[in-house]
Amino acid sequence: MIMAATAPESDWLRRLQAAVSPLNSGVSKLEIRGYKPPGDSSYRPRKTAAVLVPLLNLERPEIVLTRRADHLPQHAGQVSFPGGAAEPQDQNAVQTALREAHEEIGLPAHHATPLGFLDRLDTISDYRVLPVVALVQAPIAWQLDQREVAEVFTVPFEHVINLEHYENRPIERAGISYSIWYLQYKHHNIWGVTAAMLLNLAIRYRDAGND
Amino acid sequence: MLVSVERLSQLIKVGSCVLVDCRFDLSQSQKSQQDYLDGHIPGAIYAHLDKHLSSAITPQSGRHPLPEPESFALFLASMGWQKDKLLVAYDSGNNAYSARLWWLMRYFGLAAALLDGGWEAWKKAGLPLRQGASELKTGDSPQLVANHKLTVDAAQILSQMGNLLLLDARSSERYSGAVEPLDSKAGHIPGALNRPLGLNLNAQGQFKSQQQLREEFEQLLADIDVSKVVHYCGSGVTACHNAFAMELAGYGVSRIYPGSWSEWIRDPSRPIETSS
Repeated sequence: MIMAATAPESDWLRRLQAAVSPLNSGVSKLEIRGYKPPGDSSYRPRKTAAVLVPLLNLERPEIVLTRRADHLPQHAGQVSFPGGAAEPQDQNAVQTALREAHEEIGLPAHHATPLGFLDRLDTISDYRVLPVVALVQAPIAWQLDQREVAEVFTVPFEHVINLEHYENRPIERAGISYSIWYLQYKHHNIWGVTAAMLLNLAIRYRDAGND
Repeated sequence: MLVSVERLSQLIKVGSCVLVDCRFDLSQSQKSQQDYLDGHIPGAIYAHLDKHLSSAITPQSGRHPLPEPESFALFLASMGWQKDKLLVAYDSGNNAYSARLWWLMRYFGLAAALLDGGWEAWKKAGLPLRQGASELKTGDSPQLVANHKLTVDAAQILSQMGNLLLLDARSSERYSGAVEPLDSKAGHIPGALNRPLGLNLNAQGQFKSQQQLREEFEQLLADIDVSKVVHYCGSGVTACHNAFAMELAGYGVSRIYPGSWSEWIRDPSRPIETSS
């Protein structure tokens, strides 16, 4: 059984551990969601990436998100998790996610306990992204890499797991309609892949609470 | 079996349904009752999983033993149930608890339907809500007889092992034994296959189409006869969700093991299996 390195163990943490897919069960059993080009069933993105879904271990836990710098060529100003493409020196996706979180927001790896995976998501930008959920010991003195990250902020876990907060809207690109998820928190407009990952977490958490 | 929010809205207008709010939170058993008081679908009565949809736990039982016919009949009467009205149940999100009520009705020979998409779908549609306690109602108190053909007990599972197809509705993490948030032992009943209840739903929390469910169950069951299927889960709640989904997919009635994992592990001589 997987036990996080914290005591005492709270209800939400036990339930979260049942909600994520264990790290040792590998990624092949995880479902693949997200972008699918119309009519191409054999689609497989060429690049692999991992993101960290950091959860601050508080009595009322919070999820850490970033807003990307406004001058970036891709996804400028959008809300995302820390993360990025796998690099040759990474031994696995957990390392990719932790390395990127360290580079982008200064999260020390020893403050993070990886708990498990969410489902994989294919993006329109040719990535297959694996989300790694990790428990993070607060407080952290965030150190932003300002070339990539404009802001780090948190959203209460309670807000994230409330399925009423998610909205699904179609958008059109090059004449093709895609279905996009949105999650609003205060002035933060979380959408696309990041909102889809949070929704996946919320659904898994909901189902893990059943008996 | 399944009604949309639009259909439910009509049924409420013409007064031809009995509506039951089954929202429940296992880790905070009083929370959902408060949620109900804070807002519910107009006319809905609150059903508490432990109090109304289960009987008391015993040293041998699982976490949610089935209610006795007499107490369930009283519960139906107290919420204004009438035999010419359709009972519609809902909960928050995935219909796991309302499926238990649907299955209990079936077990006692009565009909019920689920609200597709549940509470979230109703709220998102911007339809009216009501706050506070419901008025007292009096309805029919039927003579109920349990249909034991719909259930299987631990002894039957042990004696017919290999001849039954057990479907475990818990998450793949609990099934494999990697984690166990509720019970003292982790794993599953030997030979069981895993069908996490979330697979019955789309991202909006609505049931997948009949055709899609049919294809998925066909793949899972291969050529096994539906009469051999027995659903179980942690305590006989989400098992009902898979039974509902199979019936929605056109398979007819499949049986459940109401005691489920939480009862199975009470007797250490019963075999268990883990996998990673």
